[in-house]
Amino acid sequence: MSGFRPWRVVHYHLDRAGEGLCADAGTAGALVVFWHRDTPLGQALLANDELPLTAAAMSERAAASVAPAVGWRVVGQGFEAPLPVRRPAPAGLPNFGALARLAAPLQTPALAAEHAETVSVVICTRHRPSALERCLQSLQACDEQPLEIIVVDNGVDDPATRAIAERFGVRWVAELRVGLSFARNTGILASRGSVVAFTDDDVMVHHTWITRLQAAFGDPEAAGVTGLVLPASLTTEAEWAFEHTLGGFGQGFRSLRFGPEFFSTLRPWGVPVWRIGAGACMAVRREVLSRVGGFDERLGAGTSGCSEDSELWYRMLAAGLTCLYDPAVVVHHHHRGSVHDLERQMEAYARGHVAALCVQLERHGDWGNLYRLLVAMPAYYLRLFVRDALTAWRTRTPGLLAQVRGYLMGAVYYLEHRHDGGAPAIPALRPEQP
Amino acid sequence: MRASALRFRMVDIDITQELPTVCLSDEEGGVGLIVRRAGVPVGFAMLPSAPGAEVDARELRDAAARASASHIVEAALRDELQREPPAPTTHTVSVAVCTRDRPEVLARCLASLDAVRARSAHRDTLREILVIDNAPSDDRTQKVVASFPGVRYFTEPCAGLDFARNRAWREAHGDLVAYIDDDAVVDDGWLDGLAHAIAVHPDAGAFTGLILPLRLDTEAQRLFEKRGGFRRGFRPWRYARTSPAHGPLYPAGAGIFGAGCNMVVRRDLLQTLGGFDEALDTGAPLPGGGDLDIFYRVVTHGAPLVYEPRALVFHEHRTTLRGLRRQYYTWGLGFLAFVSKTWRTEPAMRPRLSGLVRWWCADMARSIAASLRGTGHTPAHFLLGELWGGVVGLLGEYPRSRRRVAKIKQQAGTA
Repeated sequence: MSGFRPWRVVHYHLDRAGEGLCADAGTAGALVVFWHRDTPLGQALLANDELPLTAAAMSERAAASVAPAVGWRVVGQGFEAPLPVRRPAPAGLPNFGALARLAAPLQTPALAAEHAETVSVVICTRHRPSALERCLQSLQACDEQPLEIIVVDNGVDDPATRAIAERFGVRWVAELRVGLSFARNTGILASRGSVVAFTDDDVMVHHTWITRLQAAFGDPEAAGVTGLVLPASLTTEAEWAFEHTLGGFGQGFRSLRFGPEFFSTLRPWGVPVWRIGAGACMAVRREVLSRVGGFDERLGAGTSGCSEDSELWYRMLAAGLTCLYDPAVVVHHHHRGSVHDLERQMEAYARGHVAALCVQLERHGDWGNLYRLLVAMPAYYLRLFVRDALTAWRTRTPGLLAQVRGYLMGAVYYLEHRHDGGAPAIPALRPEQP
Repeated sequence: MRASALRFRMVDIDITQELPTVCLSDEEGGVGLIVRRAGVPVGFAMLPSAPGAEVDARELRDAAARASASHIVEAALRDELQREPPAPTTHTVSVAVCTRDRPEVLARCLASLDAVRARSAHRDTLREILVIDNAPSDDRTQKVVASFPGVRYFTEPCAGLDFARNRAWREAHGDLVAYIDDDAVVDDGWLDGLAHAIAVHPDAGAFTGLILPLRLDTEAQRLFEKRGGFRRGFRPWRYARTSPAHGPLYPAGAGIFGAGCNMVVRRDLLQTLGGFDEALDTGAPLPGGGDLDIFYRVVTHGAPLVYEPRALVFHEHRTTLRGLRRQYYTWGLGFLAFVSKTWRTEPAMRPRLSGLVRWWCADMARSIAASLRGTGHTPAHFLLGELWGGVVGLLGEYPRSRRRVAKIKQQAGTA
């Protein structure tokens, strides 16, 4: 495409000796993620013109980028991330004593991790053996191994997936009905851990992924946990568009607690459950799945397109449970490689989202879903359309047309499948096996 | 006396030390609070209070926490991350004070520079102090300068701030030229902050610093400060030619970079760029825009501009509402004169400049609407003055100014 230059993704570790950052003429710049002791604390987008930076200049930029997350970890009150609601509660008054005493805030000792939970990892895959291989390699490199890794093969006509699972010594389960929710539910039924963690085949997990998940579930209120999804690379225009122009999966570097308050305040306008996190990095307590059910089998990639994850959050929140977004739980996601793939994905997102709104309306009778469907979403598309039109189409929101197409397809999809709902859509889970 | 007519007491606290209790007199209606952490400025707040009231340490603590929490964390993080201070700079700085018929305020400014020179750990960085006396009407300024030993004095006959600024860098010997307004007072940490910024960013073409109010005696001064004053925040920042962090209009909105009353430019870069544009900052008809113009040209030339809050100066704002209204008019005028100049010189920048003008109009409209609704803090007629200044700036004030300046130069040449 015209004039696009790739971006580098640079992982900058603040606990190592300070280094500068060089320019690279072949790139547009660098997305720098700042880490300390394997915890991501902030990021900065630096154009190539802003480089090179000396080590001292990098630490100035790092201080500005990581201050909210460090303030939240060390001082707490006053540094809470605002929930994505219309009027977030104002941040509290920070404790002056804690601020005045602050010296070497990064050195604040990390909390000891809990290890009470056993984790089953479920990876659903279809016809992407090389991606799956990369994903399994990253899991193998984790500091702590999960109880089990289950690969659910949703495309058994290709023997390569099974061969890779066997090579890595992980469990392989076939699911013949095509659809991510079928596969995930099969994975849940096959699992034995007290926590079921899901990741996608186009993901590489961070080596602390398992331990951080266990630590996050040390919070007894956490029924589900999501984590930070960082882009693995930003070398193509589509990857860049997904991460930057469309906002990516980024939820920031401070924890968010999505509980009954979040749910009840936004219920009249449709609860933005997708903000809780992405299916590429999530985990749910097994007992919660037994209580609210598994994934709705009308939803998800291969059927409606997506949103099977957010519809599960919706059911959990409606049941009064709490989901935790913990940015210390990290995966690296390979975004779509081409603009065509991206457009198909945008279409699938819109389609799946509409179908999920309909399912949520059907199941809970919450009219806010209808408001989002008939008012908020069309208004959003119209706003983007007008904005593009005002620039005489010099700028175009990527995949806007695909989204509108997906919107209409989603409505049709739901109408065709509305009678599939009810009991068969949510398999009852067997109680935990010994 | 109306409460709004009472002056505010300036209080400078350091959170690492015990906080005082401030007892206001009956003539004082509040506190202008400057918050520092180990000397580094991290926040500013205006706290209205009852005349004669006691503002105790607890109130100051709460106000400091509210105003500066994230900047305190940032300052602590910078200390922690810059484990070894960067190698001290070998660059030298010439300080230039351009002045015209204001010997009393000039003396105050020079005294503050003397104090810095006497106390700073980086006094070797400060090579010289120059005073450029711009088309003086008498010798009072010269006499004041003579009472400060070692300060070099020059007369610039062409009236206009940018004539004086250009004279300054031509006479200076330092690697960098620091321009301080005569109605400003430099903070004790100004030179240390500047030397630190130069050491961290040896490749930068210009530096700007934080500007806080010297006093908040009058309503005009407080109104000015309420709308943000000259403050550009408490976070060091490095501005390059492009920056994804600053939106699509960057770097056309040159106001974010700083203000001319506290700016430092590399001398060889001034030479390369041909110095300041003398058609801006000419006094009465077009009294502004020269700072925006030089910031913009430094940044688009490709040399980074670094904002360093530790390089702090205090500025005495206009005391009268009439003067403040004039100031708003001047801003609108200077800003849009800069825009219309850049429009002529840089066709490639035009889409961004027109975007900037659209944004500015919308912002003015929002501010005026808020003011009329009673939710804004700036009276609408000030904003209308700024808007009017903008219209004048857009409608050919810059070309008119160029013709005037050509005449001034001609006269100076023949004289």
